[in-house]
Amino acid sequence: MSEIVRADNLFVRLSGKNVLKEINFSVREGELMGVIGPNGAGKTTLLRVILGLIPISQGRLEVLGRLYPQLKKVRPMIGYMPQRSSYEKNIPLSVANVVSTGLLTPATMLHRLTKGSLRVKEALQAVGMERFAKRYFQELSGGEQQRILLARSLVRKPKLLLLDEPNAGLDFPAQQKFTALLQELRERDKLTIILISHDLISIASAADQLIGINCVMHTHGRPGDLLNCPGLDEVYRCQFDLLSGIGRGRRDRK
Amino acid sequence: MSEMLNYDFMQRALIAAFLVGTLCSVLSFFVVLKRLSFLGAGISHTALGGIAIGLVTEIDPVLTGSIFSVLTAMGVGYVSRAGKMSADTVIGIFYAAGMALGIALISAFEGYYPELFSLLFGNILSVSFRDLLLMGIVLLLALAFIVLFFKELLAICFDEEMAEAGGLPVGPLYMVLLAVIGLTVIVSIQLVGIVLVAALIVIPGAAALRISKNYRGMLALSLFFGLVGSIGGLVLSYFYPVPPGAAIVLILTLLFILTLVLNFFLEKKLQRRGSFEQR
Repeated sequence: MSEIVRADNLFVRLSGKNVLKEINFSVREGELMGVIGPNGAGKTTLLRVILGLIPISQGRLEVLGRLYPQLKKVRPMIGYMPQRSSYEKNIPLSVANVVSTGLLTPATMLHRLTKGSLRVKEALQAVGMERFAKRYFQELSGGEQQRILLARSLVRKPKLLLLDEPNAGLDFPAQQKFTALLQELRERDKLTIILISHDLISIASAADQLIGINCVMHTHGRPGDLLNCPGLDEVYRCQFDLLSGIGRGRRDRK
Repeated sequence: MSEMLNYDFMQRALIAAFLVGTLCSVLSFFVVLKRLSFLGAGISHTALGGIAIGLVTEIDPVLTGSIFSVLTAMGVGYVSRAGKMSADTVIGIFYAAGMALGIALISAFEGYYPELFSLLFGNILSVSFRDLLLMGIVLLLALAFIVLFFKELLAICFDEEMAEAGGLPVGPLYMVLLAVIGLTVIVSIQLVGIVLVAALIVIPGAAALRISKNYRGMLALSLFFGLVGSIGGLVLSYFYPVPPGAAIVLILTLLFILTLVLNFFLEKKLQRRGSFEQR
């Protein structure tokens, strides 16, 4: 299995402040890596760095065989699904229209989208939503909209999928369905996935490896080992009881 | 009615209403979807500063106002995209600063500025051939930009972050859109004035979105509402003693209220159908 993403001693500085430092990990083809950490820990920044949208200040980053700063060239091979809050929920677009926006690249500007409908159909089939193609996006439930956005990120047949809290705001059955769908995509299409989630139990059951960051990378390893190690307390800066899901005794920030 | 068309000034006013109505309603589609409604009000009020510079320096106020509006729109876009401040905050500051500059300049350089009242409240009946030419050029530029980059602009309206991740030049496209909105506001001031121009680029799209779930339908309805409002308002002001600007905005507001009522009944009907199917 080849390495799809490799970060060595990565530092990211924004507005004069280190938002990520000493980040080291490697994700192999077909693996699912979970990223955990509190709000403001730099998880979304990490995904945007992998996409080449945010510059790194130090270290080495290789994505799909390209080294930073040439990551722009591999963007067409990356599927990205941002947080739920970022998109316009009342957009007057059909499901097929929404999925086809995923096909837009600088190369398609000033051109008509050819073979678009076939790609859209395949992407909707991949997430089991092909019968929704003509429905309006704004009419769908939160869980259905998430599946459509997943189809949108799959429409260019990416090798790497970056998902930013795809389960946020979904009820428990919808979360379970979504996680099962990701597993199916991994097994069937050998997709490499980097997934941010606050749901530690669910991410631990799905991921091959987990990294815990809070600006600095505190933990990295197999989910089973990590969830019982003191590193998790460091990530969330509190003592963590996973069974009850409650953090106890908040420590002072350093 | 036909008597109205015998007057040259009314012919020019009707062409102006058609050009500005088309321009504003097409841009209204993006203004509403991208949630830039406050920007229209901000640019128009900021324009007073630019127009005042033109009036006191005896340079064409439309030119100085245009430069001011475009720079304001792009400045708002730059600062808000840099993530330092929200667009609303930046517009709020520019809005007040532009008005203050306009008032300060006009007060400091005491003189008689008959154009000022027209600029504040619009004077479509004084539209010249040169004004029509300017409106036509801005309309052509705006339509060319929208037709060429429609799918990309739609993707940006849906989700800027996803569009950027796909490699689209989101920043430059957004800046050009803002500049086009700035120019639109300036050429529309003659129709309804600084005070009311925001309504012209917000209401058609907002009303259309109430009753259309399809982007093509929304665009067509926005155009329809924009033209009914602008031409209807002008015709109304010919027969009744109401200023054209106020008549246009009142008709657009009435259309918006009608779409709210229509939307209410459409949703009731859908709910009833849903509960019937569940049984």
